[in-house]
Amino acid sequence: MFLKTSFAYLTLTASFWLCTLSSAQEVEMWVHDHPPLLAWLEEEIATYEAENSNVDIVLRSFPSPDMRPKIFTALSGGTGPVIFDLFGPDFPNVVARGIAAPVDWQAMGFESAEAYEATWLPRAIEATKVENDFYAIPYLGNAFSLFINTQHFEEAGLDPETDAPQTWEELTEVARTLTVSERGRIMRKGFDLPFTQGPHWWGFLFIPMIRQYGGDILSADGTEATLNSEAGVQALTVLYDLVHTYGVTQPGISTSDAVNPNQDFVDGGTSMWITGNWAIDAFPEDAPIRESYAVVPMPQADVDARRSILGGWWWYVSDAASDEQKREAWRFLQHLTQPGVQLERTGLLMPNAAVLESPQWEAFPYHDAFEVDLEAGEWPYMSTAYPEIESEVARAMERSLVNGMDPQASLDEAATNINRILGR
Amino acid sequence: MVQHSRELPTNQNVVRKRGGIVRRQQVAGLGFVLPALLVLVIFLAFPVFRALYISFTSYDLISAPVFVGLKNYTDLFRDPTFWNSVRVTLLYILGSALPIFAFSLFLAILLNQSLKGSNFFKFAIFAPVVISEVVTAVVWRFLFHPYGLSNETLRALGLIQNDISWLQDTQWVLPAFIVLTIWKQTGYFMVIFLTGLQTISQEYYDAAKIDGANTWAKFQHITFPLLRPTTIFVVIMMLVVLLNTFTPFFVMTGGGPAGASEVISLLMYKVGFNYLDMGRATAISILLMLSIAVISVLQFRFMREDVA
Repeated sequence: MFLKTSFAYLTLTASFWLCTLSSAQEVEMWVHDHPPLLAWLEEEIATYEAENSNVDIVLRSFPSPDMRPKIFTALSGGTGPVIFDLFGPDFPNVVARGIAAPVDWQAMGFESAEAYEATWLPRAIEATKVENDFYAIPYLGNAFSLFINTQHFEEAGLDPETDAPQTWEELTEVARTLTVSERGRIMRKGFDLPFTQGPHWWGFLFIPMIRQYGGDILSADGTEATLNSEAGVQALTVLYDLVHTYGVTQPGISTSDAVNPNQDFVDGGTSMWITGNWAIDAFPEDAPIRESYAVVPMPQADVDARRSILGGWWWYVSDAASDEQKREAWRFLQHLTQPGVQLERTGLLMPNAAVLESPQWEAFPYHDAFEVDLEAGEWPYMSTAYPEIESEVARAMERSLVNGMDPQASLDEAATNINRILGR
Repeated sequence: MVQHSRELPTNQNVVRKRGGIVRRQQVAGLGFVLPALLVLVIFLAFPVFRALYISFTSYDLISAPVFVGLKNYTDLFRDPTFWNSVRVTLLYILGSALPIFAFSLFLAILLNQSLKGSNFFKFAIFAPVVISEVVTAVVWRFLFHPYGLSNETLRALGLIQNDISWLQDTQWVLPAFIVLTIWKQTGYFMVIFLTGLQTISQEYYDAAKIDGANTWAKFQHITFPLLRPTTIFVVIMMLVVLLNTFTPFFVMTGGGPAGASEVISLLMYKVGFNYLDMGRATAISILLMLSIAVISVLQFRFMREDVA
């Protein structure tokens, strides 16, 4: 009897351990909601799991504005994903709170940290480095350029190739020509501003503009607000005139929002709009805009001293994950960062040196224009107070562009508030 | 001499025995109350005291909270964004509460009559209450578009010459939310008033009729005084609901433009989950809780006076 019981117990225990050993390592992955990216990730996960039966990757997605609260809340509760992505400027918050593991370049198949670093565009990878370790993979480094509706240009008697604006002065003139009004209503905006897309969209526009005019949001050491400098006022005045002096756009009439930031351009309600290269793949398959758009580099204050912006999301691996999960996570991320594949399938640009040499980049629509902005592209300022500063920048834009407040007064108010935030 | 096996009860024994019964009853009572008490302590008292503690700390969700005393409160009192939110919230409450009160009471009195089709109207007026707040926000965003139904109607009535950019104009965004809130909340308070009205005996109205009282006199001297407990409940509930309104502001404007619709509940969310400053966010929540507590105390005081 005793022998029988012992045998049964041993068999059961052995079966349990065998099951445990043979079960796949689960790696949960949270990503911001961008349909082309999700579709591609689902396919890549299926392929990867077929090749690596010991890994089970669970994909979950959330709207972009929810990612920061979701990630930090989940990790604070001791749960959360192994792999997650966050908007680039969240990097200082991630590092300051120690929630990301350093990049395991060995698990990714590199012989040295230098070899890993060399695969990326220098400006893109530098921002992910703290002392000697990298803490993120900047898998999205999109260029922001000017999209134009070629049909609108032709209807207004303009040539999309030769009349496409290169400077803000030219953009103002062209936008005035393209704007269509009826009975006091703007029926077609010559150029649109991000009134409804969320605070970070003001950053995509205003940060490169203020830099073009020789200023920045914060001082070089990040301790003081400098957006109310002459450069800031010049930049905001350009936008102020577009709204209040020339009436090429108007707050509130856009159909775009945070989820569909390019909707108004897709619908033909806007003739010119600054957005990222990812917008192309997000155009609906049957939308007429697919046949009537062109892309030119972002307008500049001085075309000989270009400044543009990189907008992107970065991969992280949670430091709270087990060593095994981390190793599998880095291996999977290495699989995802194969040059050119992501671009071809999603239209999302990875600032990887090899991507710009890839046939996929050569085949990408208007890659020449994007390349100009990519070369001039810089990440937004980095600060642990970025989200709050971003809100103050957006308020400054809205005070002036919605409410008509003088640009200098609006930026002065923002500077006072940002200095208070930085001094807290 | 026969010895009694039982001693005659003395006063001391009776008291002791009664004390035992009382104690047993107390223990039994405690047993009945304990589950509910535990739930209250775990899910209400503990979070409130924990929140109070967090409001005195610097806490970013990930690192351990660090005690900073009153810093979060002093930071808030110096922060123009906080005072802007207080101002926006008060304007929103003042603008919404009175019309909701008047409409819901008027509709309740009207629909309390045995009119034909009153059930349909009750349903129609109550329907917005059960519609999801997100769906409501999305639909009203279209209605408030400068070229949408709101402006078309106002133009057709000759009330406006130029389009109003309801959600992108710092002057109009709050009135827009007030209109939405009146539409959304009136039905809920109408139902509460209806319940209150149905508790008033018809005999009072019959007697008043014999005395020759008109409709206004009946309302002034019967309906309104007898509806007082319901009225106080409605006012308090309305203020609590309005103070906690979050979703339409979050979905439709995110607090913009330029903070013109950033109510206190939205600021609390942003500070906690966007700016990752849970200490300051909790300080806001404590201030919000205190203001609701003050309102509740006033409610009890009014009710006590009412009973007296």
